[in-house]
Amino acid sequence: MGLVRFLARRLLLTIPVLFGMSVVVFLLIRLVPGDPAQVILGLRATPEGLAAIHRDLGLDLPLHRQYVQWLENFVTGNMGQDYRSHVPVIVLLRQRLPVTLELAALSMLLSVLIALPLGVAAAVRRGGTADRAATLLGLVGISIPDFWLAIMLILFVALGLGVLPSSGFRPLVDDVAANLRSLLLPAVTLAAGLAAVLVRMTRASMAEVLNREYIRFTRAKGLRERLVVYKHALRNASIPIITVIGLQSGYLLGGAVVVEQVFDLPGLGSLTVNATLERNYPVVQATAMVIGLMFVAVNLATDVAYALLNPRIRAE
Amino acid sequence: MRTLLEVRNLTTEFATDGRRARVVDHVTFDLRAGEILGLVGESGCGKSTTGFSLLRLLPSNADIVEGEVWLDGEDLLRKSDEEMRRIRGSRIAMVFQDPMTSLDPSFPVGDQLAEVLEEHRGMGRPEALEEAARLLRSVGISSPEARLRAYPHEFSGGMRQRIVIAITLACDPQVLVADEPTTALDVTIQAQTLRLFRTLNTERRHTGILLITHDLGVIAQLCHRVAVMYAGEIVEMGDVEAIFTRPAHPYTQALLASIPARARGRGALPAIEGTVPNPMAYPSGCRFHPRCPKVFADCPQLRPQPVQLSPGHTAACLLYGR
Amino acid sequence: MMAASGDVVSIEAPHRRRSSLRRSAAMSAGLVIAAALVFAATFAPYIAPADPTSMDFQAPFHPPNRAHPFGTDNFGRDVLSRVLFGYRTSLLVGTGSVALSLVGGIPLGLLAGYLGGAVDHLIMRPMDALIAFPAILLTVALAGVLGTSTFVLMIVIAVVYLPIMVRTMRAAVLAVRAEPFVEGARARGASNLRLALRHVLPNAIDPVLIQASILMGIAILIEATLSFLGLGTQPPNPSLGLMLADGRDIMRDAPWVVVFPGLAIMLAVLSFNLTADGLRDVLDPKADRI
Repeated sequence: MGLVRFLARRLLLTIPVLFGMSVVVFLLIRLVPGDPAQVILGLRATPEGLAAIHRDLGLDLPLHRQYVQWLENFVTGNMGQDYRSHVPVIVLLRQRLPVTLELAALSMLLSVLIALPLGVAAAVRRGGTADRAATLLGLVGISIPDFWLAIMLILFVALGLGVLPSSGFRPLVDDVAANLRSLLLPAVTLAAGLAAVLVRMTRASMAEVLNREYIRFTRAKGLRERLVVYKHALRNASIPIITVIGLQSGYLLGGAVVVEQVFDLPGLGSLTVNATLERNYPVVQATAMVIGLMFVAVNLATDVAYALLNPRIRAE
Repeated sequence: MRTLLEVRNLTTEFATDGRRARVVDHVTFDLRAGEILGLVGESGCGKSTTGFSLLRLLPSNADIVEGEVWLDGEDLLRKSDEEMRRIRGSRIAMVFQDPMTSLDPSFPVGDQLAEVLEEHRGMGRPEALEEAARLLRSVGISSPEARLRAYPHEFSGGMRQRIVIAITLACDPQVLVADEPTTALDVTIQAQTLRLFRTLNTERRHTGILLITHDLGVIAQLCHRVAVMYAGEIVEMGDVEAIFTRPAHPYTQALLASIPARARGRGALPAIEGTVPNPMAYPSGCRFHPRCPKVFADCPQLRPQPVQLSPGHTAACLLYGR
Repeated sequence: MMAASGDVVSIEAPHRRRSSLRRSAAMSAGLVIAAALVFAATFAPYIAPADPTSMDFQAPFHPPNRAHPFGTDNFGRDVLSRVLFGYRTSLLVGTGSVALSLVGGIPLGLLAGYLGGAVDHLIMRPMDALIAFPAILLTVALAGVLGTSTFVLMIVIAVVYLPIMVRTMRAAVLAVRAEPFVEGARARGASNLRLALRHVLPNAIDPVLIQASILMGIAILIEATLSFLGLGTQPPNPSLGLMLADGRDIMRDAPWVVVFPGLAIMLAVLSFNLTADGLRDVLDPKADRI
């Protein structure tokens, strides 16, 4: 029961956070100097032309009115249109969100599959092969520029071996195999950086827990090493690990801009960046809100994980 | 009473910063079924390490470099890691000092009890939980079936210690090592826990208990025999009655003299001059000689060997021979 | 644990625990490589085999050889020279960002940690808000707004990293402030300012140094990334990121044009991360190792 109430409380707390976020997002994009109308008209801009576009897009209304109107529309599902192409933002999102989501999921999966076992093995035997491999991964992974790794992979794997595409995206519904192939190299690129951080944290957290008295007592009970490490130690070491995974997920969901660029993937990251540069307010606001919502969801999931793993949190 | 545990010349060394410290030095004693043997000394004398050495639960920078530990005819020091693991928790078990840190905070106590039974007795989960409830009741925890699902933080220190004791007794070990079992507890809870130990001892005549402590009061209340440790060595050993009424080694005498109850308000509380020696730099000859009120010329030169003063009472002091 | 009786709690300031400086292979290696790179960058005009901008249309797409150890690009420009000059930009941006973030972070962190209370809140709330913002978006937005000069880049990176510097300094100050020797100095009549600057600051600076080393690596990466995206260093200024962006078009024919600049970036970042790891081992072996 404590768990349900805990969840409910956290959910309620997200509402003011989301509100605050909407205000910040709204204001922030407008703080960036530059006139969307100017961007649209470019060299053909005339004062009358600019004014006309301002009226069209509702930019001549007072700020708070713009905000209220936008918010009303947003909660009813109307996210406006791209200033330039007039494509409904929601359509853009529907195209791009799955790409980012799938890439995020694949990258995270790869990272966890590599980093978690390696980090545990490294902590259990300090100075052993796993430990040295973890150190190497941890160091190289955070030093390597992601766009360069992407280029290297394209150069040597895609172009060199020819088994994977060097760019582009195939939707899941079209062809599962092609879809996965198009996301494999990007996912590996992202996973390198993620795994580096994760393996360090896993090793550090496990090493700390393995030193605790209750682990010594568990050994004194004569339990198998497997139980000591994977049941008792890992459970107690998991909170910092989950924290890192949560933070990394949040980052991934924001769209990995550079990787999307290099592999030519139509994801949220490049959408947001381009829209920012074009002062395309509706697009920026909508994507920022969606990213924010996903971030909140990830935070919630992390909190739930904490509560499940640590009995004391549930008691509050 | 038959002898369960024969420890011969147990020697454990720690390696730090390239130097070695001999924390346990040729420790020799027997533990018989049904008896409580006290191992007493100041902090830093190596008594806890002795306990851990019996279970071979030492940190990676420590090694048992010499000796034999005969448990019911088998030398534990010659066992493989896997064999020792099966013996640990089932035939020889240990109660740690601080009950607040002994239990895994993330699992219910029933689970932590059942684990031992599943591992060493091959029980299935339902059977193990039943037995766990029975064990909890036997250490004085009421409504044990409900308590099985509770987490360690829901229990007080005293109750956690009882749970720990229940875990160690789960497989009916031959030897129970208790490392300062009451030191971390409140005074009132201490008395309860000690009573528990006495009950256990009366009920389980086939088990021997090694009680490690720095508290002479605890020794007096519970133990049948006592070994006094100083600087890694046993300096005196005998029946509790003999040690308390006719202490032979100057260190034992000083320890007894410093008990507040004994001083009975006669002026300042006698304290032992000096401090416990650093295991990396033990004094030459008799390790107690720098602090000994009865020191004489031979003491810094010769290492005293245990001398039998009367049946069952030995002391390692040059006053009584070499 | 053996506790000798009668330990006297020290009220003397631990004079910069350098006496217990343990050798760390990582730190030494990192510092050596970093020093070599700084040297190479500083003296690039003298060590570079060729002028990085001089084009030689007789020798395009040459693979690595004696004359051009890293090969040439499509304009016949020597890649090694361009890499060396690119390092100048990278290290310049890195040094600038680190310096700026230290200039901002140390005083802010010191104030927040030492004075506490309202001052602490005043400083830390904006920092918390800044940290919550996704860094890449913040950098892109700021760069898009403020333009793309090197100086702006330095400011952008410093601002993005400022909360971490402030937090690190503040945490260290809080820890040192609680130590007995501070009370001792205060009892001897030291003023707040003197206390803060002479006693607290020198003993709290260690974690900040580690962060500074990490930031150096991050700054180099960010400069390269932004330049790659076209939002950082603009041509004709040399930049390793720009080289990679340009090189993409010709990498099929001349892979060395993308391999070496990237390796160069990685080497630089690696050296600073190694140094940071080593510093951690040396200065505080018990620190939270991430």
